[in-house]
Amino acid sequence: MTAQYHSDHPETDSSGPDPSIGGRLRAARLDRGLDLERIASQLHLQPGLVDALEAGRYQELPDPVFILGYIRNYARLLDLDPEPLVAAYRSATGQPLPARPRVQGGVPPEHRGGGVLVRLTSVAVVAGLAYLFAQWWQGQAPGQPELNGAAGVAVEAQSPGPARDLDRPRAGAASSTPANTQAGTQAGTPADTAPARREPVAVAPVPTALAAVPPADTAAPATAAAPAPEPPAEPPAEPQASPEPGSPQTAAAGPAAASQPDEVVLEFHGPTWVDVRDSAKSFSLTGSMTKGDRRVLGGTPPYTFVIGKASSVALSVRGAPFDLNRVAKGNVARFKLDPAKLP
Amino acid sequence: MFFRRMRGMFSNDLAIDLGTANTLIYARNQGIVLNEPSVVAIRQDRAGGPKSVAAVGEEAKMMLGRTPQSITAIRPLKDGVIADFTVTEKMLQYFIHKVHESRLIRPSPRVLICVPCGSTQVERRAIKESAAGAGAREVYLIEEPMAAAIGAGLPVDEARGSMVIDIGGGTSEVGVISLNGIVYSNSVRIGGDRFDEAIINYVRRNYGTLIGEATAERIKHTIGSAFPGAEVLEMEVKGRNLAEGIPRSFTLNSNEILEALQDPLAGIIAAVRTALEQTPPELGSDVAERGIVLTGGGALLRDVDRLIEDETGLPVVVADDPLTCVARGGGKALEMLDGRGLELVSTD
Repeated sequence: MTAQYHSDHPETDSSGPDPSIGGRLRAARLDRGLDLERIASQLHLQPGLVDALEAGRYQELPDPVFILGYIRNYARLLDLDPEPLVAAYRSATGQPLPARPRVQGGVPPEHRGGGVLVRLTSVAVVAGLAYLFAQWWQGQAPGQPELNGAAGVAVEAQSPGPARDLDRPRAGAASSTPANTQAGTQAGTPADTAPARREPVAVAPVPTALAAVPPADTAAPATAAAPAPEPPAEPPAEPQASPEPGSPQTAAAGPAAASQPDEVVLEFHGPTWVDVRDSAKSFSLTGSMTKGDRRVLGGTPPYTFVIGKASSVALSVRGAPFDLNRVAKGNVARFKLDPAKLP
Repeated sequence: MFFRRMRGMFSNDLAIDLGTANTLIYARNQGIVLNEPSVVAIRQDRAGGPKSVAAVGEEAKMMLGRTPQSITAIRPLKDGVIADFTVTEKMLQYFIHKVHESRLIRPSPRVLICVPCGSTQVERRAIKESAAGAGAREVYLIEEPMAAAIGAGLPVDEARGSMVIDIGGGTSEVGVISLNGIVYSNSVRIGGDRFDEAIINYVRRNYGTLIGEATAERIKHTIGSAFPGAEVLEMEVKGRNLAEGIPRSFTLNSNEILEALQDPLAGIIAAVRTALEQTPPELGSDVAERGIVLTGGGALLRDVDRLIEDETGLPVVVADDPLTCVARGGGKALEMLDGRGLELVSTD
């Protein structure tokens, strides 16, 4: 039987691949003396379909999946090896072989280490971006340009007098030598006799203020003798101490706290929350305030203010009221304030 | 969400046949890229201590029934649905990682998962969530008979009835499909696992010997048969004799296995008969004319097609590479997803 099957092969190949499949099946069937109907009933198919399969009329047969199945079943019925026939059918009709699993090589189970690294890196990148954004945001705080515009003249006509001693080199540099400013910062501050002589300076017009600087500086060494016991480290500490009205310095300066230089006072007429920070991050006033509270700001100006309800706060700088409505947007006021730059 | 979408650009869309016995993954434009047993080995060094994944897939299957106290080899799916949610998630995570070569960026693919048609809403939701937990960006579900029919190459979009039987590890699905929809479907919780169980029970009853699941599976692959054939195959098996408590070896032949498998096979035949009864007559005549297509690992059981042919009197053909039919069909549905394929899949 197999000999016949092989001898058939070259002859059927020359007449095309299609008849070879059906031809081989038909030859094997005839070789066993089986008729078409018998095979059809054993395959549970209609004789017409088996005939079409043997004749290679695939257009009369259903989809390829069925044809392949019929070929396999037919070959099995005749004890033939179905694989060469199936392969011949595939090559004849261009049916692709089912894709073999392309299973990948070993990945160690501990594959998640890389994931952790990537996660850490992305967290670092996000944090960096957030920091840069915060920097940019602080650079253009919403209240500042408005305030500068409103107090444009004041900025030009700033007086060195009301500035704190550390600010003075900047404000009054035009008229004072470096030596003078040094003397002023070291000796003038602890003494805090300045309030007395600066009192007129604060209200004086600009030219007078400029002229008043040299006398202030020359007066400093003289007054330095009095507060000699005070440690030199006092200047930075002074702002923090100043809110307490009972501090010896303010007491010495005068009975009214409002008379202290650059003193910024917040008085509350109603409940509101505030967030006030100074530029040196040494002072902050945050939280909810109630009616009747009064706070004196310490730290290093300029201050950054956020006031929840501007209408219930009265802000005064050196005793002079500061109009919060000018900087408030709706209820909330956000702005930067440098008392030294106010007239 | 944004990052997932970003990572999605570096991920392949996947169709996953999350089977009780084997998990297959078809990657878009690549074909079948993974075929591994659905087994996870969990290591827990001390009681109450942290659990870690010791092995997944082929490696874990080797451990099945051979583990020390600190390792448990688990098959997280039972009867086609999730039995252990966390372990399934870990397994999917591992497989999804494995098919993505670039490990710099955590993959976040769109995933299509094949579910048994008999699964409940709760079971489907569990599958969806475990795939999402494993990193999938979007999860689609497709019913297994539909995926099997597409994978086998049946003309699902024609107005013709096609019947497909998918015998899997945990379930067997029978579906009649026409015009891209399932006309009738039925799922019975009988599959390869039940065959193994039946063999274990048979050997214990008739030989007084206990064999393990892996041995039973090997017997099924080597000499298992569903229809009495001309030749009788034999196989030497070792198991623990229950009376003596000592491992003994004995010989099994294919007729004995055929006898052992009668019960589960009868269950499948009954499901097929019910399906034929319930199929509308027009579609039934289409099926009778062309035949039934058999897919799934169970189709590899020797002569199972002849058994169904004999029982129903209809032609039965085994699809090409029946093990991967469902995954390949899922893959084709995935490729159609951007077009009209949405009617084939569901998102809930």
